[in-house]
Amino acid sequence: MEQLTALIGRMQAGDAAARDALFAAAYEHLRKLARARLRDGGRSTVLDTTSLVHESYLRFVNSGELRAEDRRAFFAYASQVMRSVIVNSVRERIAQKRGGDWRPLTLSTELAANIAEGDDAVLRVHEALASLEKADPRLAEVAQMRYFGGYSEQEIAETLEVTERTVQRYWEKARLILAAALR
Amino acid sequence: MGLSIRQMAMMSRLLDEALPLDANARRAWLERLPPEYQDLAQALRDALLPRDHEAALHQPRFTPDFTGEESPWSGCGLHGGARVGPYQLIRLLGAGGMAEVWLARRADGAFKREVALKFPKHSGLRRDLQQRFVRERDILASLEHPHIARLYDAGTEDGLSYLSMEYVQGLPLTDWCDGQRLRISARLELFLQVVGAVQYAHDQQVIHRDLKPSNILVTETGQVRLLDFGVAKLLESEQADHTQLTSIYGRALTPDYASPELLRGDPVDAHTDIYSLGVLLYELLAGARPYRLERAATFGMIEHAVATLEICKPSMRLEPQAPAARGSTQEELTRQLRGDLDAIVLKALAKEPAERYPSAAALAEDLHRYFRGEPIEALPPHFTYRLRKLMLRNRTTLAVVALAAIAILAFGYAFRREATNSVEVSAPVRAAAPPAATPRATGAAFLPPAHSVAVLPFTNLSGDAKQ
Repeated sequence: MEQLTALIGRMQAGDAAARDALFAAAYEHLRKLARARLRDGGRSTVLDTTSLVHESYLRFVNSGELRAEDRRAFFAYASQVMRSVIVNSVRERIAQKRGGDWRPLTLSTELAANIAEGDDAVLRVHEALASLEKADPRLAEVAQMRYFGGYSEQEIAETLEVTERTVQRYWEKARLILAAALR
Repeated sequence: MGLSIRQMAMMSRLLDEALPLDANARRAWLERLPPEYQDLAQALRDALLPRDHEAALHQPRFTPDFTGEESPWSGCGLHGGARVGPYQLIRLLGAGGMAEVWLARRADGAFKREVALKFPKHSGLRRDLQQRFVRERDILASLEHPHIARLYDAGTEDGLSYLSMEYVQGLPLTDWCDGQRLRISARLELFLQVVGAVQYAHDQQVIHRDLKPSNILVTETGQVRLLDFGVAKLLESEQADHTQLTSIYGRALTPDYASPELLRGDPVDAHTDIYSLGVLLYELLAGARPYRLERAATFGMIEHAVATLEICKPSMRLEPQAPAARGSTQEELTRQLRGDLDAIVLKALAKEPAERYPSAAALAEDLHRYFRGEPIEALPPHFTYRLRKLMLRNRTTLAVVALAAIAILAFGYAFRREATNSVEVSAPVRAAAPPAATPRATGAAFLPPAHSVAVLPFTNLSGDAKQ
């Protein structure tokens, strides 16, 4: 498999195929991790996306597929991948749900506690975020990193190369707008 | 209920205004929310005043009962179905600190069309102003332009003044442009529609006084409609020294679009609209406004700020998301704005009215010059600037001329060479004579400069010419 670092380089140079390849590689990995985590004897329904992203980053670095310098690029991208992993797994879960054994999935991020919980909420946030992307892409980016990626404000600030204060401002606005949209 | 993309974009913008305020200021801000944002009132209240939101849980959400007795918006005591003069109210379109706007239709069935009825609050017009009100109303009602929403009528019924206006459904200009990801040229075309409408009104001696995106809507078909032309003046009651400012403050979300003289309370003329057009153009191009005034500031602070503020070129103040919203990149957009467009915007924004464009038409004309690649008025008549424009404008001609020049020179060169050769042939005996080399040397020395004049500017400038 081509190294992620090389893919990131090509992607940054505008190569669309590299973007797809990177997405596929990261997606597969994050999906496996998320699966394993959720299986967990069926008890855990809280998905700790933060640790998933960090774990996959470390694995890629340790296996030599990703240079540590590409941390920023990887993180910028991983929340997007994480989002589709989560959304797809929620859709699967909803499709499979039977009997009383099923419990809603919860994300261990701030927004989850503040706005809404459960599988349905994840999908609704996903949809509201799609609208927000068109209305105010910066807010949507921060919200995606926060909600689906579970990044800290500091991590987001580093990734986007803005101040933490800016991230806080964006996040507050995004949260209020999403709350209004989901209500 | 969910929010549309348009509502999300608006809410984001409105939260920028309100989040920095403390609870009391937020409450006051919500009270003054202009009618056009009324569909977001509940969402904004929930976002800005979380405790109020708890209390509001028992009320039906998102279908606020505007007509209810306790509703904060029923300032005029009106309700759906009520008759006002010849009109029957249908529903409240919005309400703000200064006015309520209702959708209404003619009760007598004289016209089928629906109208927007605006009821200014505190509308007890002084008797001596009634006369003027009628006169002004007639002038405004005579404005007829494809890009100006019609004022049909204005009247007073049981002490309640109202304006009946064309009901326009559309998006604020800036939101529309961003939503459509319009490029600079498309934005300028819409802006020129606005400028044309303003010039038309100025020709009828009507000043808008309150030009801002929320008063400039774009309909589904992409046509601009200016609302509330001259209404600010009509509603002005001349009670206090700072009436103009209070009315701006009361009605508008932000005084950011008001000219320095309007903020000072000085008499205003058409130049005040030119200034507001400048702010609008700035925002359309760069995504940011030239400055943002804190609502909490006192009149004096605002006056001072606007009077002393150094306005930065739009190309230097691009909003981070502006390039994407204009289908462009940071570099391309900066390059596009730098120079002509910067200068046009800054001329419209001159602090001294006399230094701005003398008319909306002059502003439009300069934008047309920019489109045609001619030197603009806003820039000093510098020789090299004019020459560059001339060359850019006449790229094709220049290329033809250059080619012709090369052809002529080449021909001349060949001809002389031919002549020289024939001299050489006809006089082989005088081989030692040096003059034979002279024509050749002259021709060779002459040709390269011709090349550099003709070819260099041509290739060099063509990269610059994506306008």
